[in-house]
Amino acid sequence: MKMMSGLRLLVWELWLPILIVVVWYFGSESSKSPYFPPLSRIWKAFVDNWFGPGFVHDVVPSLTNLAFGLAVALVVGVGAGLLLAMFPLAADIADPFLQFFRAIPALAVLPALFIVFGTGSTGNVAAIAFGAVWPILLNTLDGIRSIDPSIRLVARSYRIRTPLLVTQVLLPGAMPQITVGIRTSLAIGVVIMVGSEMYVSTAGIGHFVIVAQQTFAIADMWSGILLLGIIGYVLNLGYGVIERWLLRWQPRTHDALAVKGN
Amino acid sequence: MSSTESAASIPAVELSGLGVTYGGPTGREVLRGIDLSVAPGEIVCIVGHSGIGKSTLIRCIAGLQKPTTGEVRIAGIAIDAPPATLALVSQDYGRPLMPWLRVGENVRLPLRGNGLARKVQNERVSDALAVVGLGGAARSYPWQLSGGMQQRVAIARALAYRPQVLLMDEPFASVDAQTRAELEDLLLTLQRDLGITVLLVTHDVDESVYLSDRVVVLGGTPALMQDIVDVPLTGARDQLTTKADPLFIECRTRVLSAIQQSKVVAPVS
Amino acid sequence: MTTLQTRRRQVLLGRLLTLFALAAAWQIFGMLGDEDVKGIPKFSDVAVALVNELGTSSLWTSLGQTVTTTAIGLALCLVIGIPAGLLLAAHPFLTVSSRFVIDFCRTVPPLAIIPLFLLIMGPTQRMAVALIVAVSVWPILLQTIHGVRNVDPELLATARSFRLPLWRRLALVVAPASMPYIFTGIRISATLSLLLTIGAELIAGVPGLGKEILLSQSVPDRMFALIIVAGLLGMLLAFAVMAIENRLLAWHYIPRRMTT
Repeated sequence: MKMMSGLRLLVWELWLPILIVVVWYFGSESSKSPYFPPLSRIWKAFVDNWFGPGFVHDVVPSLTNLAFGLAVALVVGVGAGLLLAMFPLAADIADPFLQFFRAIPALAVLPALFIVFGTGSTGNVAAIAFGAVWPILLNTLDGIRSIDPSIRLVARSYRIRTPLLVTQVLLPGAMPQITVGIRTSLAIGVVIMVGSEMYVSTAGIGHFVIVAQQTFAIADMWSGILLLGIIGYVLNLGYGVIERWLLRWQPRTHDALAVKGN
Repeated sequence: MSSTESAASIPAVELSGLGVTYGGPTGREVLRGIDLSVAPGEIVCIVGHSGIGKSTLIRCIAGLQKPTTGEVRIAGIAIDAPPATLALVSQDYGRPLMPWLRVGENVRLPLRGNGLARKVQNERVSDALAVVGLGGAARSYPWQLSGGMQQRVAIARALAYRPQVLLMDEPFASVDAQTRAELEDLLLTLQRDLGITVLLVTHDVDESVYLSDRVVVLGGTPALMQDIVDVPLTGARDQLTTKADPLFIECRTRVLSAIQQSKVVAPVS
Repeated sequence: MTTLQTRRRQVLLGRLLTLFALAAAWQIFGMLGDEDVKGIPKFSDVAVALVNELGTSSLWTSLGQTVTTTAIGLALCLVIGIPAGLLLAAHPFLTVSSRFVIDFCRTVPPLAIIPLFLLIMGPTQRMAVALIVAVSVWPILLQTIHGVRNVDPELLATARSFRLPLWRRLALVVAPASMPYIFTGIRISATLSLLLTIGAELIAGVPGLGKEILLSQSVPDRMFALIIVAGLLGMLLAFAVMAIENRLLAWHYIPRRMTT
């Protein structure tokens, strides 16, 4: 019975996407529109580009920049959030500044960051880091602050020292909130990765797409868009796995129909 | 006086003129003039009706809160921070356990970083869990245990710490009556075997008389020590016979009337 | 003086000091990179440029364009997303069928489709609005579904036991109960919409604040000043959404969330 409903669920989930792909494929086969070439051609461009030299030339730099940027954001965000949480006065003082920096549309700062860090990949990494650090920082701060006070009281009564307090109490306790922040940062990071490459760059998927658009290589452009979509989806999925591992101590709540909020 | 004699005569816990006022000199006075001397190995219960400041008192004794006046001495030494020889088990079983650590890790946490070898730590953990009857629960997470079991884990955690003084703040308030009876007896057994000094806050008068050698009644606003009732019940205690003992009933009545009295007397603040 | 007042003063002092320190650091940094390499402009220059800008009409025009684009885009997202979400949440079949598509579209990097839209609609505000709708509708959709599905079954059972008709159940129970979730979606979409507007303006040259930033690349003072304006705009938007949320959801305790 249970296996049956699992299979049924899978079918329910997949019929629509499969249908869409099939309809798109056959519907566009005879397309004459310059903007919407046949899916077969897009697929050919996709294979040519991304299973070929394009992978090394564009995909690798993009993803490496993303990885570095997010890593920096993670370290700085969690570290700063932790420090601010441990010194409440500093957190109060910093609050309006944090709100301001968080509210700046991350793309608006791109030109400024490129002036400071140059237009090479350092600039990309810096842009990603700058945009991605705020959700992590603020969520770490918030997460630590909302740890049940009685837990911190108990830790104090047992004289648990700071290094142990951080690794065994504060960070795990804040982890549910931190993972929400990381999820947001991941999305922002990808946006900035693409945006910064479209704005100014010599390599990268975003760069590829905008150049394709400018040179009217429409199929190539579509192949780039598809790739970005797939990367976005896979990253999200992968992060879901990581998140479940990070929060493995939480009791399982069973809602098969639950849609994971953003 | 020989050194062993004087060592024995140093009270495990001593409160002198302890008072707590919130919000500056013109603020709300919660506790006033608490003097108490607890001998090593004694069990003392503190009772009073809800909200009177019992928890505040426990926090001061535990070194988590600095009293406005007076001082707290643990084994003769004045404290201003949680001392190493004291463990606190507080109310609301679920909350003081870290949900993200397994039971065994929860119990082990206070032992870490103190120079104890890992092997010794693990031994103490398994011993403590066995003593409270949860020998097989080390790998479980807190949410997998019932309320009473979680409270036992909190007690095991305190025990593994090997404190000289055990403070308990309404530890059995959130469990059902049957579990409470079991936990009370567990506490008595442990105390008898290990000789720990126990200070326990409770609002349950029966429990206070059942467990303790002396009962301290707090009452009034600000809370003063209304009365200290000696409980000269000797011999092993058990739920059935002790609570029918006329001496038990007499002590109980005395505690209860002290509490009632504290409500009648109009406070002068 | 009470401890609270002392604390407030400390915080205020701390903030002023930090502001001063940041400005000073910026100024020094700006003065360092002043050789042949075009480095960061000095804080003083930027401040002057900012004041100047506020006096020009071009700033306010472009600001207005950005705000209009964002607002219209967001409004369309609400109009499309909430009803669609309510519909999809009505039956598990619909919810599950649409889940993959929604998830996929949600995770497509928002800017990826700028080139396509640019191609079809050109660098116009219309294009930016279309972009916003194509991207920002998903969080609202998702959160609406989430909210509806998470309505306490007890509440619904109680409503049914009072024999309330369907539309009343929807209006009196489902809608208010799912509001907190929907508002989370609105908050996300609002931030995203502004981000997209600025992105489209910066990258594709759609008229607005972002385009002005793009155009002033060779005048760093002005550019930095405009970026600050963008930051202030972002803050304003965040406050506006929060204020509306607090009014409409006063009955629901929302702890002060510093999350996106």
